[in-house]
Amino acid sequence: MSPKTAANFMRFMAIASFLSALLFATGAMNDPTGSLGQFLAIIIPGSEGASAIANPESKVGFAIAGGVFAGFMVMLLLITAPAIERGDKVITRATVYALLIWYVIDSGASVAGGAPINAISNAIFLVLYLLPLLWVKETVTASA
Amino acid sequence: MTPRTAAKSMRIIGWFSLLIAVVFAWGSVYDPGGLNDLFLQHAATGETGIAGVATQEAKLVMAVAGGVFGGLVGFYLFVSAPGIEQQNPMIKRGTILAFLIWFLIDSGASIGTGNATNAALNIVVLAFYLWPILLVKKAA
Repeated sequence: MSPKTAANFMRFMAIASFLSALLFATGAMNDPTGSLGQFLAIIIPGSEGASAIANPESKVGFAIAGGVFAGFMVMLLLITAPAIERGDKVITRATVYALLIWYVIDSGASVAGGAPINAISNAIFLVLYLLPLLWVKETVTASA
Repeated sequence: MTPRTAAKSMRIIGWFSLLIAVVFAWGSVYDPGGLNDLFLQHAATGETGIAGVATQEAKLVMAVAGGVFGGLVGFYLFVSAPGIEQQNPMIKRGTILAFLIWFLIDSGASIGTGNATNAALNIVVLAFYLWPILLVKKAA
């Protein structure tokens, strides 16, 4: 795909993920949209949904996850997407490292914590995030 | 502070934070030195600490939180630090905005769920990440 298309795809992924992060953070406050319960039902078969996140220790985890996820997506939106458009290989490669770090830590701990389906879900999202970084066509920067 | 010193500080903070991210993600399975327990005793209003993270859903949330934290600090380490060293204004602005967004959402949701102490802790954490970026001076 062209650098412009790849950058727009990254912007779409970052904005959609940012909105998911907001749902994640507000999920701790009784899951007003019900989307968190649906997510948990998919990732943990037999889940009681957001009602299983009842005590302060669990709720603060949701607040942290939502906040950090949103911050990460702002980085992709404001730094990585323009870098893809410019053909900046240093930033795109470094973004790949950051995404791989997220994937390894999140998936490893999910499997260890008894939620292996989250690792599969993460693999799908990893591919979507990596698509605009790895399948972008090189721009011609020098002319003969 | 010179751009080089600021970037060096950010790399130290970044590597340290990566370790914390791993410890946080695995907290429900293994809590070395009781670090997560100590954190939750202070950040949450409950009194159970890490023992309060007992359900599958709560364990998953810790894994997700640790993972995305790892991704964010990985970005800080591999993109923001070199960007500050090269005095890239877009990276500086994007990094500051990203951490402010994290702070607002995390703190807002923490207060909304009755965990205002986490919002207070976040002020310290925000300063921890932003000081090298805010104190850097333009190289002559």
